[in-house]
Amino acid sequence: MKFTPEPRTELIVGHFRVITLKIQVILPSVCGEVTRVVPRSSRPFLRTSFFYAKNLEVSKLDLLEEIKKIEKEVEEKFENVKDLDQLEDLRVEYLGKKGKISQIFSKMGQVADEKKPLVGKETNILKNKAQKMYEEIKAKKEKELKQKRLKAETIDITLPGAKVNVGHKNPFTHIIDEVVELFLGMGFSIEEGPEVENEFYNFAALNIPEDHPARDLQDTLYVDDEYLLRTHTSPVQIRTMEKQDPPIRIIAPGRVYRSDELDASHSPNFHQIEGLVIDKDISFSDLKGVIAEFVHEIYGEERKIRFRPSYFPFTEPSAEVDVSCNVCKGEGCSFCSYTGWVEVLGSGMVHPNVLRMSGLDPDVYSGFAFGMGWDRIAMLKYDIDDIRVLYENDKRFIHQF
Amino acid sequence: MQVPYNWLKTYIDFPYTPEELSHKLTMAGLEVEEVEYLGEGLEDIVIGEIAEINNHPNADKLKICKVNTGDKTLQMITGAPNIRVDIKVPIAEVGVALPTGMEIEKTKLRGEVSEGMICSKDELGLQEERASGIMILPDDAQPGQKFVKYYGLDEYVFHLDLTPNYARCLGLLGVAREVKAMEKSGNEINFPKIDIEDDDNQEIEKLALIKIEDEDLCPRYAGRVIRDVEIKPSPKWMQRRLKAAGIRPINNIVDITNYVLLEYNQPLHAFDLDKIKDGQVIVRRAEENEKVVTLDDVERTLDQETLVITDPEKIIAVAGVMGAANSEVTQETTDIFLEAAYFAPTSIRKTARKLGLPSEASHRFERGIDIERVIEAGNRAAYLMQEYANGKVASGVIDNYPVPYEENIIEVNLAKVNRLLGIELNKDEIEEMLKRLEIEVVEKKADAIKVKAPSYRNDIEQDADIIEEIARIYGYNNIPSTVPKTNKVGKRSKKQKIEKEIKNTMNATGLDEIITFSLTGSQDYKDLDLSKDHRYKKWVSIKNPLNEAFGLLRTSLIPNLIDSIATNAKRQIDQVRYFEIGRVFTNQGHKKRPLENTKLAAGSMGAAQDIWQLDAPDFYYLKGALEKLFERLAISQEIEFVRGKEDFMHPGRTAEIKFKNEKIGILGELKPKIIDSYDLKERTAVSEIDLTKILSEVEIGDYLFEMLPKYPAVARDLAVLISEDVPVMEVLNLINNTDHEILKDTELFDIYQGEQIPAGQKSIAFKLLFQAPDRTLTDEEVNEVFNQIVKNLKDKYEAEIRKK
Repeated sequence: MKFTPEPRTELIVGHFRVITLKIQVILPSVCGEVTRVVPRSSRPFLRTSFFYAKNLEVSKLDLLEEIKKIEKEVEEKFENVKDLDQLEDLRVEYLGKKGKISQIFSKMGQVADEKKPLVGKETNILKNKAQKMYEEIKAKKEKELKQKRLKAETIDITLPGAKVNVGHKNPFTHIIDEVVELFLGMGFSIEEGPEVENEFYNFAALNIPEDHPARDLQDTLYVDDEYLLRTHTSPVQIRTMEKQDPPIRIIAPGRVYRSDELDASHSPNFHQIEGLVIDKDISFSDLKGVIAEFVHEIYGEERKIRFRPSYFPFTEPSAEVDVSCNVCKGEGCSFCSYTGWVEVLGSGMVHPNVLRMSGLDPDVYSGFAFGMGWDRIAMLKYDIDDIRVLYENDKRFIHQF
Repeated sequence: MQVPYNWLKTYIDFPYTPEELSHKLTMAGLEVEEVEYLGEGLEDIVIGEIAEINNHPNADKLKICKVNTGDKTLQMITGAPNIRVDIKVPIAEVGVALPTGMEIEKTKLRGEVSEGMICSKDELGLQEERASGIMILPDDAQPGQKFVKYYGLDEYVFHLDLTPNYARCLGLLGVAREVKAMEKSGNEINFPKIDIEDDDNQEIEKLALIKIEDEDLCPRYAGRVIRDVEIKPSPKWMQRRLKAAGIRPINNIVDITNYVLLEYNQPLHAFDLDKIKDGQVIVRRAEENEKVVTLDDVERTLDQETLVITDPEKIIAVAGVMGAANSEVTQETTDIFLEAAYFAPTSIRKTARKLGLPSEASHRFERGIDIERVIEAGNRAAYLMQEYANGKVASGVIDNYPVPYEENIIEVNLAKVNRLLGIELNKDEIEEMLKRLEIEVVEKKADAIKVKAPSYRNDIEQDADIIEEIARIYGYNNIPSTVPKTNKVGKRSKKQKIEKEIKNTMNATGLDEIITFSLTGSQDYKDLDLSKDHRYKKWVSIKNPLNEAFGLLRTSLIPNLIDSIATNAKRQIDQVRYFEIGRVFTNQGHKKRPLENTKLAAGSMGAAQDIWQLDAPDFYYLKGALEKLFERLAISQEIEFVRGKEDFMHPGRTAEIKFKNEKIGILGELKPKIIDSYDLKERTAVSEIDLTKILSEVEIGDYLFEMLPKYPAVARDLAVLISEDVPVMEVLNLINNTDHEILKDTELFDIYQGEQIPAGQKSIAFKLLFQAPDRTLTDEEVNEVFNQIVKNLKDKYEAEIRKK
């Protein structure tokens, strides 16, 4: 016999507590009421209780009516369920082990035998229907809940991102990385040399004799009678030829120094990138080809290039290289002094005197050299109009690169 | 060199407009820096003639003029006091803008119409100061004529930036030769007129004598004498040409020497013959400390390197540089001794530099002039003195030419020409090009030619110079472009790779790269408050610095780093993280090559996160960045941070960085005094590391894979109370050196002092990670090691495990 704990009534009658429980099911076909009478004595041995039952009846039921009723209930309640908690309550109420639908099965005993198959079938249909409804509504409610949660989690995606601190490359480094990549690809390696040089490497070995007007081209800063600050990266040419046999292909980036007052276009300390190629059968055409690769890579494919005769003591023939002005596209403007061209580098075939001084026979070997202002590349490429800004190191400047 | 277009045209006819000529000159190697139009802004000014003047009915000081401008008569009002009938004046008609920007409008002046303006010199921009009246032109001016044409301002001037090998173009004839060579059959050159009527009554030998004592410095010295000259201004056309070329007219004699200098590139000097004792000219070296007062009235002290021109008693000129005041041509001069000489370039260069006297003459002598045309130039000047100073040219020339010009015959291999230029030219084509340059082929061989360059081409020494001329005439831009083949592979050296890795890592840890001057000043180091013999003071000084601020080579990257941070602080940028990689220089003694080391410096100001709550955010930020760097370079195990000391750093917040037990750098917070003097934010920290050892000993990219753990790790927290004096690193070392095999990692995650911690102690908390490669650890195993660690800490430091 099973009791459902609720509902129940409690009465105090004299020395007894009378607890009345409605028994829904005692046996499959028995319904009724059971009353438990508990003595109110404080003495434990006297607390033995007893039961009595009343209104018990055994009935032969036609449950079809009830099935319909439950079906209707199920439909209504499930349709109107508010949330998953409520749905779970409904599941227990109807589909639980002791739920209303299970109870129908448990009342089967009271059904007339000939009706049993029909009642069983209808109950099963009801059960399946309720189960299906439950699952569908559950899925729907879960989905709704998820969506609701996602919606509640919506953020303002226009808010700025977290501050990620990554340092910026210096514009000089941007330039040299590009230049180096290009020349590595053409088989060049990178050479360096001392910034404090002597007369020999800086001048004499480059075919710039003492008291030659060519020395006026570069105002030199001296350390003492022996040493000076290199005025160009060209000494690296000599140092490379000294330690390496042809074929030679190098670029040499580095700092150089001149006795120039600091202003918008001059600086006593600036940077150059030198290039040198020595081999058999190197021609002026080769010089033009390599320079063109460089100019197009750094300044853009659309730029025009022109070579014009110039003079450097260590090259012969010598050529100044101009690219079409990017501001006016070659039309002529104040930036290019109305010429349509901007000077970007100096170059030439290595002077036979330089080859000879480095122990190479000019009838066997030839080569070309070029040199350019690294600062100038940055200024032209990034449209910087004052060299000083490159060395001032304002964070807002560096963060533009 | 300034080349006036029309003047140049008198020597060679050419079909180019000024713009075309400018381009062609540049492409021939004579770089045109600027083309100046002398009449800029005056193009529309015309010449008018005052036909009639009437008083203005309504104004006493104004006149109404009828001005004939050639084809019409206009009415103009003027108040100029010097207005007269029949004079020629510059006129700006209605609609014309003056150089001042003022545009002439048709107006009424007190009721009378004015249809233009009669201009004064200052209104035309021809003089600075205010003119008192209108400009009156000479009578030969024609009404209706363009003012610029009449006044010689219709002239384009080319400002050439000539390289030393174009010295020949420091004379107009040289430029004319270049123009000639621009075309296959260019026009011939019109050489200047020389038509001397020799005064046979006077032979030069009786008037003058030349003696060269130092022929090495003076291979040729020639003289002519011109008598009875009349000193006066030179003709207007000559003055205009000189002015256009940038030379100030003085008098006819001086102007003529300058004029010929500009024609022939031959400096000349005119002496007052009467002031040369006995007419004897001696060319010699100066004596040590010999003195002379030059034309500019400055007394100069000479030495034996200097070549001077003297008479038997005194120095009359510093050869090729400047004349002496004592023999100057003056208003009273009647007889001229005209010098035309060739001086050794090096000597002139040294003298001009020593005396600080660069001049038009010395500029040319030091670049080398045409020794073979010395006489011709002298004659040209003598002729002009005859014509424009009414001089009588004494017959004969004294030509002292002890070291004659030697012709240089150069053999040029034809295959080499083509090989070196990357073109295909035959002998005839080459010969034709050379002919345009007056380079003569003296001998033809099967595979080579022998050529002789003209005497004015002192820049041509060997075949390479001839090849350059061929390339120039052929046109650099007509030579094809090729990329030379190679079997070489471009590579970065190990050092370059490490440097790149360092830069990348520094960027990745949030530091921006800066570049600062390596030329700096001692003030930067004074600001660092360095002790007397601090290593930073072993700098290399510049012998001839531009100024104090660029007087030495840096010994450290720190001063400029601080300076850069300070620059930002001044500009209200309060968070700065910088690094620089660059060379520093250490003096190794006089005449010894300074040491050049590559260093890394890093600095941080205003870091946000104060990880250990010790109010040292910048210090620990930089330390973290450096630790990451050492990790990237795989040398963390060999790096140690120990307590250090540095003059400009906070004594309690300075670390020395050691690599393989050798000090390679420092890291620390700047001391308050420095922070204050640079106006930096508090707690700014800097570091400097000498990369020499790292660059030579680190192997980059040498990674070795270690198996990933297969078994789970066990983490235990360990918090201990320990004396506040014990450095965390010691504790860490003690933990890590515990005898075990299973402690994989120890990480400090908290350090605390304050409430609940006894005074003099601190709480430090570590996360210990235990793991074995071959099994899942048991609690017992972990406990054993853990307890051992606790015991060791207790034994050594009396550290107590902290109860939660």
